[in-house]
Amino acid sequence: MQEYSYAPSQTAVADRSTFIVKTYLHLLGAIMAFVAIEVGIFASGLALPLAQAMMGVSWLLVLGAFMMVSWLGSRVAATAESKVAQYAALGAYVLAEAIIFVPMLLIADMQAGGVITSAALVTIMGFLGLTAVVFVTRKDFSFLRGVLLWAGFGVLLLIVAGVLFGFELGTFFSVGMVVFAGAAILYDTSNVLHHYPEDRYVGAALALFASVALLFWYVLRLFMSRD
Amino acid sequence: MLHDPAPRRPLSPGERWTGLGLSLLLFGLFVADVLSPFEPRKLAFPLLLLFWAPALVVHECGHALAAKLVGWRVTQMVLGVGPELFRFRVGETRVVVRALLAEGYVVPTPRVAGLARAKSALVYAGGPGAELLVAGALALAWGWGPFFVQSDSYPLIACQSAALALTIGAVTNLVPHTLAGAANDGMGILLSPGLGLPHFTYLLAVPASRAVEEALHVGDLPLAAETADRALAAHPDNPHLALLRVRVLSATGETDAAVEALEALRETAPRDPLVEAELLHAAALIALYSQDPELLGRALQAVQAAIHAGGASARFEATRGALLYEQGRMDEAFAALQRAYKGTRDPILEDHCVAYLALVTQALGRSEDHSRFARELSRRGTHAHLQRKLAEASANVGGDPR
Repeated sequence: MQEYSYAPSQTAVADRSTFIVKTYLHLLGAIMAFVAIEVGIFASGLALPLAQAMMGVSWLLVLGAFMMVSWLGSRVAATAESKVAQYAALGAYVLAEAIIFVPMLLIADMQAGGVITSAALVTIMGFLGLTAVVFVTRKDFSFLRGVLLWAGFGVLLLIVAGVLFGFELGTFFSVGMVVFAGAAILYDTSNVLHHYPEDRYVGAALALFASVALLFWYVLRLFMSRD
Repeated sequence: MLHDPAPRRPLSPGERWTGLGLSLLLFGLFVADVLSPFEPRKLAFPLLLLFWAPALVVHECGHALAAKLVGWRVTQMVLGVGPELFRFRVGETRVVVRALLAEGYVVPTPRVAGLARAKSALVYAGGPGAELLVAGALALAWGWGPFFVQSDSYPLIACQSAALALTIGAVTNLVPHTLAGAANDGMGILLSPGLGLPHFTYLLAVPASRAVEEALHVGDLPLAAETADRALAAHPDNPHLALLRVRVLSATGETDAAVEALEALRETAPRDPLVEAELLHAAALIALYSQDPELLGRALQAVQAAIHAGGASARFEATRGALLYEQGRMDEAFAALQRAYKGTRDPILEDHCVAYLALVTQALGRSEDHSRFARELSRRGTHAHLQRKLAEASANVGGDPR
C-alpha cells in the first residue's frame, strides 16, 4: 500500500541515502543499456530497415504504441510487488525508447556525426545542473505535476494536429519541449529525494530515464535544426 | 511523471505563481511555433484547444440525454474543474460550471431497478456516442470524402479541428481506465453488465444522500432531516435512504437514537456487502460525531470492516483518517487522509480531508504543511466545527491557526 511522507525522519536518513544511490545506479544502468542497444542496432545494420519501417507507417501509430509502452511500464514499475516485473517494465521501456530514437539518430548521424555527442553532452550537463538544483535547495517540486500533465496533454494535441493537418513543428516547439523536459527532471528528482517509497528505486529510475530521454530528444532536434 | 508518489497538498502562493509562469512560458513558446512561420493549417492547434470546451458540453449533454431517454433522472451536471463560476437549473438538473472546462461529469440516477444494467451501459455510452455523432455530422456536412483532406481553407480547418476535438474526447473516454477512483465511460460500459441490484439501489439513493450531506455540511440540520424523511417516504425499502436518517440523528447529537435506529436497520437491511459497508461506516460516523471515547474505540474496527466489505473508497478512508487522528495515531491518520484526499474530487470530502490534514500536520509539527492546509481550510470557509477545533488545538500548542 502506498505510504506518504514529506521528508525522511532522522532514523530513516541512511535508508533514504541507500534508496537514492540505488535509483541513480539504476538510471545509469538504463542509460548504458540504451546506448548498448543503439550501438547494437547501428552496428548490425538494422538501423536503416528499422527506421524505414517506422517512417513508412503513420507517426501517430508509432507514437501511440510508444505511449502504451510508457504507460504500462510506468504503472508496472510503480505498483508491481515483484522485482522481476519492475525490472521487466524498465527493460521494456528502455527498449521502446531505443527503438523510437533510431530514425532520429540515423538522420542525425547522416547529417553530422558530432551532433549526437554534442546533444548528449548538453543533456548530461542539463540533467546534472537540474539535479544539483534539487539536491542543494531541497525544494519540493511536486507542485509541478499539474502543469506537466496539462502541458503534456497540450503537447500531444499539438503533435497529433501536426501529423493530421500536415505541418512541421519548429524551433520554438523544441525549445518549449526542452523547458518541459527540464521541469519534468526537477519534478522527478524532487520525488526521488522526498517522496518515492524506498522499495521503488526501479520505478523512480524509470521516471528519471524517461525525462532524460525526452530532454535528449529535443536537444538533439534543436542541434539538428541548427545544423 | 505518470506515477505520482507525492502527497496532495494545497499550493503555496509562490508555487501557484511559478506554475502559472511556467504554463505561460510553455504556452507562449507553442503559440510562437504556430505563428512562425505561419500557415493556416497551424491554426488547428489553438482551434483544438478552443473546441475542447464545446466538446465537453456535447459529451456531458450526451450522457444526460441518454439518461433521460432510458427514463433515469439527472440531478447534477458538472462542467469543468477548479473554482465554481456559476450554477443554474435545467428542470431537475443542477448545472455547475467551473473555471477550467477540461473535464466534467453527470449524476444519473435510476427511478426503478428494471433493466438497470443495460440502461447503465447506454448512459455511459451516451457521452462518447454524442461526440462521435456530432463529429460524423460535421464530416457529412462537407460531403464526407472532401472532409478528410489536408487544406488551408479556414472553414474546413475549423470544422476538422472541432471534429478532431470531439473524436479525441470520445476515444480517450472509451479507453477503459479509472480516474480518482471513478470508472470512466469505457470502464463503466464494461462493468455495467456485471453490476448487481444492490448497486442500483445504492445509485437510487445518491441524489438524496448528496442533498443531505450538503445540508449537513453547511449546518442546515432541519433541511437535512426534511430531505432524508422525504426521500425515505418515497422509497421506504431502500436501506441507504434509511441510513440518511441515522446520519442526521448522529449529526444533531442524538447519539442514542442514532445507535438505536442503526441497530434496528441492521435487523431488517438486506445482507449485501455494499449495505454492510454503509452500515459499518454509519456506525463509525456516529462515533466520530459523538466523540464518545468508548464508541471511538470500536469505530476504527467498524470502518476497517467497512473497507474490507465495500472496498477502500475515499469516503471510508477519510473517516478512518479522522478516527486515527482522534486516537492520536498521527502518521497513520496522515496516510489514510492522503489516500482519501488524492482519491476524490468531491468538494465536501475534500473539505473534510483538508480540515483533518490541517489538524494532523499540526500535531506532527509539520509547520509548513500545516499552514498550507489551514490556509486552504480558511479559503474554503467550511467545516466551522473543525475550524474551531483547529483554533483550540493551536491555542493549546501556542501556535497560529493561520
